[in-house]
Amino acid sequence: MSNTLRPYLTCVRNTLTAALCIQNFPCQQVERHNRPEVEYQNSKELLLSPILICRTEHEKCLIEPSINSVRISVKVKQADELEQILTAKFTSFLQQRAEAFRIMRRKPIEGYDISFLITNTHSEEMYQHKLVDFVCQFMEDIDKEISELKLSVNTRGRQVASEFLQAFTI
Amino acid sequence: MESCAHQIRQALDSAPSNTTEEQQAASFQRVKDSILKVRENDIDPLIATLTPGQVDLLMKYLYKGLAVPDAKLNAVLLLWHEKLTAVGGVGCIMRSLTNPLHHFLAPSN
Repeated sequence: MSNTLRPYLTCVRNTLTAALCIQNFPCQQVERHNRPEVEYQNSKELLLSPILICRTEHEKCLIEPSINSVRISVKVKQADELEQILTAKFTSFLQQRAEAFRIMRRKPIEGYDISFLITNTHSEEMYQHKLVDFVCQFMEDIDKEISELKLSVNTRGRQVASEFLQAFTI
Repeated sequence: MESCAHQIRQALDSAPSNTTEEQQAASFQRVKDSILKVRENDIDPLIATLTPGQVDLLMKYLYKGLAVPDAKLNAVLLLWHEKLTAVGGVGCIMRSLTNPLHHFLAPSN
């Protein structure tokens, strides 16, 4: 299982390194405006073709590049209902604090759990290779986080149940 | 191994002449089948024999294959992707972003 995790993350890392060639590009339609073209999807000539990297049916990564911004959407592996609920709560917690992450999008793209939007201002202020590192590390860590959360939920449930039921034992 | 290498090169060389949907799907299937036949140890020497144009084309096919959520095939494709990037570099990936298969009617070089 983890023998495909390494190649998957390497593939995402290499693709991101290629996709993060972004530059400042003022809006062509409106004067003095500067907007992330990948979010508006207006001009075909400014968008590169999106790349979808599926590890499995339930775990994939969509990278949509454009001339001045890149959108990365990740679908996290969710094996059962408990993991689905945990992922939903965890990603919503992170997305409410998207300001602190700077490159995080407040709403994920349809069909994915979490999305990042990296614009040319981000790549000017921060190192490109570090941005790539961050996204890949995030994808690796979120799996571990969800497993830990699931483990602690089960442990807590077991403890609470045994404490509660002790009142009924003679 | 020689026959696998030859098959892949054939599949890649015949691709530019495909313009209809069925031809494209058929050539994609050919590339996928020949990729699955190659053993893990033979991938590196095989990639070393490809021309730059073929490397670019193979990368585009890999991405097309990775878009389909087939776990077993994708495990192989991800392995190929890693090895192909070592040879083709980030430029090869860049060319798949700018000149993908569905815009493809002539070789990118």
